Amino acid sequence: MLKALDDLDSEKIQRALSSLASVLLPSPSEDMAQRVKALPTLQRNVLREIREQLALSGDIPGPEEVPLVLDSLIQELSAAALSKADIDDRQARAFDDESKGQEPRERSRPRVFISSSTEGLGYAREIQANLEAYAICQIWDRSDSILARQFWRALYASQANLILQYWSLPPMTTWKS
Amino acid sequence: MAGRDSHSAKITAQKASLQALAVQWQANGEITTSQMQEIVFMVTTASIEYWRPLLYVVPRVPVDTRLQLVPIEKRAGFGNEYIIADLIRDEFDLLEF
Repeated sequence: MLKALDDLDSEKIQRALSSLASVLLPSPSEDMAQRVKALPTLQRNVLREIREQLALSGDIPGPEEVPLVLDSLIQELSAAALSKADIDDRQARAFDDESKGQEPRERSRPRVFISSSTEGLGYAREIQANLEAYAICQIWDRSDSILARQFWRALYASQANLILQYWSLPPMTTWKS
Repeated sequence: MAGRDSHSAKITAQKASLQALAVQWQANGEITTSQMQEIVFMVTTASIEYWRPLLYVVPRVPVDTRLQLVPIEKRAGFGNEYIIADLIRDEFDLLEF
């Protein structure tokens, strides 16, 4: 248990640790220094204590240090959240039915049309080869004029789930429900 | 994954995110304490195989009105990112690599 959390009850500890974890998760919008400076005192003390335990210097975790700090937070949060839990019951409920939960559901394979220009045919065939285990694939490599007349009409009559089109322009993916 | 390397920064971030969410949901009354404990327990004890990457393919039209745009500060990148809180199993396909 961290000293900074000594006088707090389990729920407050959980909330403090979870909010700190949320702040430390990678985010593209703000840099870590800003986020850490905005932390309440309690969370800053927790962070400082964890960094001391990990023998890290400074107050702001660097990118390579964040996983270490998060890993410590996971352990602390888990200990707090499960402190009053019946672990045997949790174990039974969480993993007794794991094989059922992980079984892939039987389902008919979706149909995938891969439309390709002549120069993109190699890519289309690669996509087809990689999707074959999951989907019934059909490559459309006709000329554009034929595609323009028939493609959409045939497509909407075909019950296709996913249409992949390879163009010389940026790739376009079209969905049909 | 094949090498059973359990020191992936991405997986650590996912674990922290799921635990933090479970605590927030419980605090907001969205799940019970028991459910929160179950999530935290599974996140903490699940073997590395459970963290394998999966691709969820979700046709957009049936869920379009239920898409919640993720605030920029919570996205994994700068592209649009959505949450579908009530997605059901028949609305997506799941591909394993």
